[in-house]
Amino acid sequence: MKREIIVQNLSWRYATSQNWVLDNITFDVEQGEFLAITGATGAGKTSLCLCLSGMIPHGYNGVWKGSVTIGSLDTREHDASDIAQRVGMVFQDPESQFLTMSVEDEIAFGPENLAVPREEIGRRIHDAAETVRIDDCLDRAPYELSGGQKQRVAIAAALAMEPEVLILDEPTSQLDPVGKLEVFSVLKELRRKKSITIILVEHFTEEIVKHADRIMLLYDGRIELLDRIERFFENVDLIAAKGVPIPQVTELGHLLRSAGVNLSSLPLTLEQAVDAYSGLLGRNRNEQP
Amino acid sequence: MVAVLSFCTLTTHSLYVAGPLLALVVLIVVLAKIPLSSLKVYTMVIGWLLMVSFVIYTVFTPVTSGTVLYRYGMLMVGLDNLLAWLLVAMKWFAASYITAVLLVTTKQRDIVLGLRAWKVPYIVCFIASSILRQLAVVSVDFFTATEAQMSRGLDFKQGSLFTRLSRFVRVGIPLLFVSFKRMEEMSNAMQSRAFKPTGRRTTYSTIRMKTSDALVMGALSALAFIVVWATYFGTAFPYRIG
Amino acid sequence: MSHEVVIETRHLTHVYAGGVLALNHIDLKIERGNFVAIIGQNGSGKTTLAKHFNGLLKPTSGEVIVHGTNVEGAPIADLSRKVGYVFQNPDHQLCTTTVEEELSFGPRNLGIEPDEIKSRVLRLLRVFNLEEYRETHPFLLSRADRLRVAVCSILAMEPETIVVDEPTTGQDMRQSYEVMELLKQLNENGHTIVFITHNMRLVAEYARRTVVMKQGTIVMDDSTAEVFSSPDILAETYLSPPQITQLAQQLDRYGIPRGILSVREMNEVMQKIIKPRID
Repeated sequence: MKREIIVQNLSWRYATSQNWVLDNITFDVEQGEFLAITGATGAGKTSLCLCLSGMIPHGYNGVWKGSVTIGSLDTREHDASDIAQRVGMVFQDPESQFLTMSVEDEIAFGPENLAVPREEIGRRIHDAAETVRIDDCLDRAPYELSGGQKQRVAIAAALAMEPEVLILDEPTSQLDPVGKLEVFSVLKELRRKKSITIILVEHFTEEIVKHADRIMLLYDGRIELLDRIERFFENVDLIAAKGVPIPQVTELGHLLRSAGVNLSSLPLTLEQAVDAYSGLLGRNRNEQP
Repeated sequence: MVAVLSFCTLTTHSLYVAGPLLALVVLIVVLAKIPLSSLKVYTMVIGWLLMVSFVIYTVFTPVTSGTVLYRYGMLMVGLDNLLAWLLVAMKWFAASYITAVLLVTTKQRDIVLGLRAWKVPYIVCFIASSILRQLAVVSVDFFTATEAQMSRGLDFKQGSLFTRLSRFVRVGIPLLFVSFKRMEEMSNAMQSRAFKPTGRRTTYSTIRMKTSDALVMGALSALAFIVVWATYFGTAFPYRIG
Repeated sequence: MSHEVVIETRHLTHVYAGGVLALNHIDLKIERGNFVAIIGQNGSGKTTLAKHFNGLLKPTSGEVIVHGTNVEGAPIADLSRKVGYVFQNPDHQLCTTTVEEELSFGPRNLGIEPDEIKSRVLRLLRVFNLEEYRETHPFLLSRADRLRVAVCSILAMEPETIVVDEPTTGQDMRQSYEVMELLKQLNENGHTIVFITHNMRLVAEYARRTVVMKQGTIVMDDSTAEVFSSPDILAETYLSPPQITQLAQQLDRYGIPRGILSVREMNEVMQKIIKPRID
């Protein structure tokens, strides 16, 4: 599989601080992969996103080491706007990333800046709006939309630039539960429809396990763990020590295992848990005197 | 439309012109079904100012010409002064109501599209639209910050006007900080959408001038022309004042 | 535990300008020492209700009585002595140049003696590990620290009841737990805590009592275990109980109680069923 993103020995320090926010990070992401990044606040997740999208180093002052390559572009050697074409980004705050006065304008904004011809913009708007299921709200103004709707518009706005990579930095942290589900279902739909590479920074591990291929645990600017989902949560103690929650059903599995119960694999989702634990409880019931 | 009417009202010197203009504005207000509550602020502020100026115009301005309506010792109330005040009142009400009409009837988006259609440079349009967008956001922040400080015992209802206003400094500080953060986030969002202040870009949404728009603009331009001519060149209108 | 009612609403109705009915005849009693969570979708009226507790909003009709005082006609500054309100975004509150100033701000507004203020501030700095930041500008702190400063600045006014609006937005799990532990400690010391949240896991683990709201009315007001065992109520309001509770409910035919609220509880229950087989 082709490697979409290659990060080599990346380190970054902001001009205003003495700490290395990112410390010798090396990893790659395959084309079409869904990588989740998790970690406590201050671990460097947002800074990593900014580096992957080229905003660091172009928009921020500081010290850079290492390299980030998206596709075939080295982020240091290309303009922020060239990189912006390949990497779409969705930020945390639904309010401040909504720049224009209506949904349609917002989705058109990116392609307009790239001087895409008008008919093409129209097609892209339609396509993106359909993917995020906002096609009935095109003429609405931002103040008429819920948080979840605004974030979906932000995703559509990024998709309209037809990027190869979509990075989402904690897109649901300011949303209510309905909004959170809306965003996750859009991501699921997106995976199904397009072969776009997705990087999602998120705390909500119970949802991540339903979507991601691999998860990365960042702590203090370093990669503590990077593995496929099935194996990632075996490291329960390490994950908890670095301030990241694990799905409750998985935590339960871990506690049961430590008490000597035989569990072949730790369940990650509710469905897996019901299967695994019914098995355990059911067997017991049959053998009760 | 607003610009033209404001221009008319503010430049006219004749009561005969101002009167009908005000009537026209009121007609527009009624036709556009503007809720009266939005005019309340304008009415109150201007009304208050006019009451003060009434006193100034009538009592404190010396009567230089025309009939004197009332005399009490040193104070004189002259007809001409009274009419001058009336003219000012009409002009200000008309101008402010028509502005209210603009703000209430036009969707913010259309104001900006209108500017774009007149080939105002994109960066200016973008700044205008950002300001309008942020106005709503900042006012929410303002109210939240005010409530937050009230919950810490800051009383905005007691004390002299000065003390009360100075307490708003405590609201201003968090507001400033929150706004700076937003600006950083906005600029990141703009960069991620390849925003360039100048340079080639496509405009997706446009509004077209409809025939009705053209007619209205034509009619109003004619009106403006007549008013200016009447004011400065014509002698046909009686009751010129000042 | 005393059952003195500290907050009471009677037929509380609130209509916003523009005619939006936010609260519809709410009757609620909160007793001293309660640890209550108010949950519901956005727009259900949770924040509107909470803002009546310190007078930020006044009833359109009905009454709200807080610590014996009718909210109608009482200045917010007075009510804030008894009821502290912590806002969702700490940045909306921070308005001074040092952490020490920030903590002193509230009590100073209430006219507390300077010596008393000083001692309260020093104690809070110590207890909440903020001593090193005493002279730091609040806006230079991390978001988690800013939230702690915001909470402490309310605590400095020593209110008996504390209302916290969405303490977990923008926080990671560990920070959210820190805030909740803080509230738990305060509750153990006799404070009444009311918090609004979307995070069902925290509700399950901390709130003894949960009030569920929908479209301006209270649809359920009971112990947290009861609330999470009532799937119809929750489905109606589109809220789901924490994952572990959902698991317990799907396994109830094996003898698992439906009102399980934590992983620890579930572990104990399951071990009791499975262990005899192993031993």
